[in-house]
Amino acid sequence: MTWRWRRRAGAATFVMRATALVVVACTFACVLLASRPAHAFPWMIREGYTGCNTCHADPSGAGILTAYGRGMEEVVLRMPYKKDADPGKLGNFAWSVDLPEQLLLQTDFRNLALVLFPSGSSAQFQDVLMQLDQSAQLKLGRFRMNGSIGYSPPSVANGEFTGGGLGATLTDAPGQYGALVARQYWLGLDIGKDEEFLLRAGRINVPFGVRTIEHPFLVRQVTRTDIDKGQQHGVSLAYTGEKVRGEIMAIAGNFAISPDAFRERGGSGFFEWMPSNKVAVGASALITHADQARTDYDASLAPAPIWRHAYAVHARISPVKPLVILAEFDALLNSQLVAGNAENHAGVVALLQADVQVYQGIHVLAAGEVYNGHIGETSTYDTTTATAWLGAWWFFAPHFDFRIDGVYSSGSAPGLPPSAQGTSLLAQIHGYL
Amino acid sequence: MKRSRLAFAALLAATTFAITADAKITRTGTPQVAFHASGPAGMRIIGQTNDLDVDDQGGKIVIKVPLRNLHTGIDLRDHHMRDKYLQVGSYPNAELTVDRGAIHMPNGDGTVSGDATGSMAIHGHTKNVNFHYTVARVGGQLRVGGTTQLDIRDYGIDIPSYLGVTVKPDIDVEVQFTASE
Repeated sequence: MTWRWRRRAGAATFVMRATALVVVACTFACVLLASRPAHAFPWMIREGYTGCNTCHADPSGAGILTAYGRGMEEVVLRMPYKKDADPGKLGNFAWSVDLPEQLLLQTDFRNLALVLFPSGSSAQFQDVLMQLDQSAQLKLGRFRMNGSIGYSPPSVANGEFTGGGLGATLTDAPGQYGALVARQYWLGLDIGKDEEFLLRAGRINVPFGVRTIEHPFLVRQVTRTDIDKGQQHGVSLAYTGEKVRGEIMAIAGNFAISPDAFRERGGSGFFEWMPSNKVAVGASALITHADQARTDYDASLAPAPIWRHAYAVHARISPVKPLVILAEFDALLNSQLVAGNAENHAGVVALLQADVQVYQGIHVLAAGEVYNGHIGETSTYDTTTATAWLGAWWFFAPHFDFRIDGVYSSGSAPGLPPSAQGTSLLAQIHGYL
Repeated sequence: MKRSRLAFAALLAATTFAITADAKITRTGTPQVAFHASGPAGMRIIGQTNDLDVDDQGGKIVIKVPLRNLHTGIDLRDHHMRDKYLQVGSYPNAELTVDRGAIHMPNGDGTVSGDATGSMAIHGHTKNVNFHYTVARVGGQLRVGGTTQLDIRDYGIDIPSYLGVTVKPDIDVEVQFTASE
């Protein structure tokens, strides 16, 4: 049995309705010339922002920005060209449009030019349209409707140009005309005096570890908790306070894939304690079960039912304003019953990242990761993959940023293509309305 | 001769006590003043300054905090705080005036803490506030700490709001400084 992109009549109806709702919301907003945008920068702790929901609609970070988040992007993120300048409406949707406070809108474009230097073979060039999404949130009283819809183009020229977010397609895998992508869509209810709780149901980012925009990080890929395509359908409850925050999620499965045997069900959650506005430490846990392991994702797994465990501790620390240290250590366990015999594979994956803001708007990032999914085993899988990142990021204009990265990986890991082994040079540009 | 020495010693002790009672407090070292404000759903803002003066007027002690250099870590927010809300051009200081007798001081080396009431003047408005204080005498130095909670609406300060995020009116204030007598 192999997994494939989902196409089922019942789910398709649900998807069509959700899509229609989002489209109606977007149209409504555009007609009224109203709006807002989204990203995932855990290093914003340098500015004293320990939580995420001041700037993001998602209380655990990433995705569409609030009006305040748009403003902060201009005030503290973008390179300033005039000291203490009030950005005014520059952060607004389309740089100037005042949206009703109930409505958030964001149009994202992100393109990646990638040169791979795989070990033992010639260089390969790829251009990836990573993101072409329209996101929206409509909030009426304490009720929220939030979603994104995007387009992933078909692969052409032997894969030299391709789309992204394919784990979040609403339709089948991109064919002749590409695919619709919906990373998130959920209904939410704000609870509490200060709306410190948010109850959500829908397709949601899985709450686990450091939520970061670098979705290829091993800690995100191995645990399948990235914000590019790792979302799951389910119900979650998030809390954000001054000293603690967290989110727990009951996972019903990723209905973008089929058959049902490949869908993981279980739970995930994280807890974070912020003893000061420059220090946050947390812990996460994820336990899921699927009737059929994704051997395409991890070739070391057997085509059998699987319990997947991940437990993490993480920290975000800004000892001085220019520097933010992010660290995450995950313990992994894949447990399978194969022909009546238990097969348990223990592993670890760890991340250490330093973000240095050399000047407002200019960041230098360095990161290192190690992964071993078969600790203590003598099989061919008992190897450690180490990666090293070095990048520079320039928030050069309102709503625009440009980034280059050099990545070296000694091997591959679950969720990454074999071509990940070797050196990669990446250049990406991102813009949003 | 012996009686006269004892009498001299008693006189010296009495004189010393009187000087201590009337000794003026003078700030030394680098003070630390901070306020903690909060916004919706966990948002925290911490403002800090190292400006603080102590004016010992005998019967009263006035602790004055110049607000011009109060900073929160974000330039634009500081600009809004100082010019739009605190209006430091017109009201440059926050002042706490306390009756000297309301503060208990340690006899010799030691620590005393307690609660007291003083008069707080900010933004052209004055209101009595309760505060908690700690005074530690170490050698010849006094290490003074104090905390209080203020409602900025009591001082005629508009509640700060920016792009849909509104700060709560209650703020915690924390002060630490050293002084000599």
